[in-house]
Amino acid sequence: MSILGKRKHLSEEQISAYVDNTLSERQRQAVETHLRHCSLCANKVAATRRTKQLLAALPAPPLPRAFTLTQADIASARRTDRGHWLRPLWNAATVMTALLLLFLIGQNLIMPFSGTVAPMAARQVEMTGAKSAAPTAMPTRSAHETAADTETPLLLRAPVGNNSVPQANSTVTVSPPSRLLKAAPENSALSEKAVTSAQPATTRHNPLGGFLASAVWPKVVLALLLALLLASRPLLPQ
Amino acid sequence: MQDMAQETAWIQQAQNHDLAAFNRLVLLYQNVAFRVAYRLLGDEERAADAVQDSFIKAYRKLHQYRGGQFRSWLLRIVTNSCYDMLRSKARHPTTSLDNMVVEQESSTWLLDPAESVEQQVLRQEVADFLQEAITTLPPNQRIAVTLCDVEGLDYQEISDVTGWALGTVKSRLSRGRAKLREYISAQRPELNPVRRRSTGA
Repeated sequence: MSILGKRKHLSEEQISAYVDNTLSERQRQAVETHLRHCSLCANKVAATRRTKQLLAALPAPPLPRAFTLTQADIASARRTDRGHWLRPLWNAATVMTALLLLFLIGQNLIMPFSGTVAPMAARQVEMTGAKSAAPTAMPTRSAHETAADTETPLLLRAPVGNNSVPQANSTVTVSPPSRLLKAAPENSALSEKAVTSAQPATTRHNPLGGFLASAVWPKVVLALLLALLLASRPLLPQ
Repeated sequence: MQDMAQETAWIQQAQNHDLAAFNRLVLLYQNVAFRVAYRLLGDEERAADAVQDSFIKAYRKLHQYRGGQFRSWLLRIVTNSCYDMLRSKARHPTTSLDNMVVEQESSTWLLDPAESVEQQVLRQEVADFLQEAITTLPPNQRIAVTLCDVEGLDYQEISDVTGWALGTVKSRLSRGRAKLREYISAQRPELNPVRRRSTGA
């Protein structure tokens, strides 16, 4: 009975080993003694033996084809392996693309906060009738070009939501490049004067308010979704 | 002994990139490789893919072979390929209409012209049922049962193939057998006459 320990019946492992005839002589005798008194275990042994016989009698499936290799098989496998080696590079490139995208959008996100100042300042100037203040609003354009430009400057048309934002911009932060000041000193002077007269209050613009009011955040959400999609591509089944 | 010497010579030649020598080994072992893959995967096409991949891997990793039974070394590659496929299928189960149709197909290759139609049908049914029963097992138990009960490998060779300790082999085998036994008794009790007799008594 020592083979059972505290159990009443044989373990599956003992039944399996008994069926395989891999027990020691002493263990085998102990199992057989138990089987003489326990129909449950005897049935299990018989059924396990029968299961083993059924499996052993399973007919072999015929080969669907010969598996001999050709040089082309080996070469094709090498190409596939090369693909495996390149996969980490692809993954890295994907992540880099996602980061680059985030960086670009991030730039786009930051610029409007400093950029909203310029168009608003320009609009103020326009409202006071000083159209020539455009160079301060468009520091990237040459003074000559701007002076000749009779159309509405591009930034003035930017949908930044200026009307809804309080007009308390820090117009003093508008600092056109010295090159432009030299090129059109009277324009700049006029513009600063005009802006200052139009903007007596100089409380700082709230960046969060600007962000929410701007049209940038849908782009950010889109970029994040795109980045997530790109980054998850390597996890997809190959 | 001469066969072993011949096999060793082929292995050495194949290790020196002799593809013809390797193909002699393929011809020697392709049947057992396909049988094991078929039992583990339960699908002829996937089994063929697994075997093809395994032979390519074996050829490319032949320099890593350090003696011992070549069959065990090769079956290790085959079972690993099948295991990967099983895990991949478990992660990404696909139940397309095509697959369902394939699963419904019976093994027409079991037909033997010498048998009566009734015998043929019965044998085919039993074989299909047993294959279905094997595929209900978890992968590790499926490997143990296939290698031991279908292919007749001993515990030590199963341990060599799978890399499991002997105790693990015994344990997984016994659990797999117990599950199969219960499955057969529940689904097709007529296949277990011993049990039927005892319950009838």
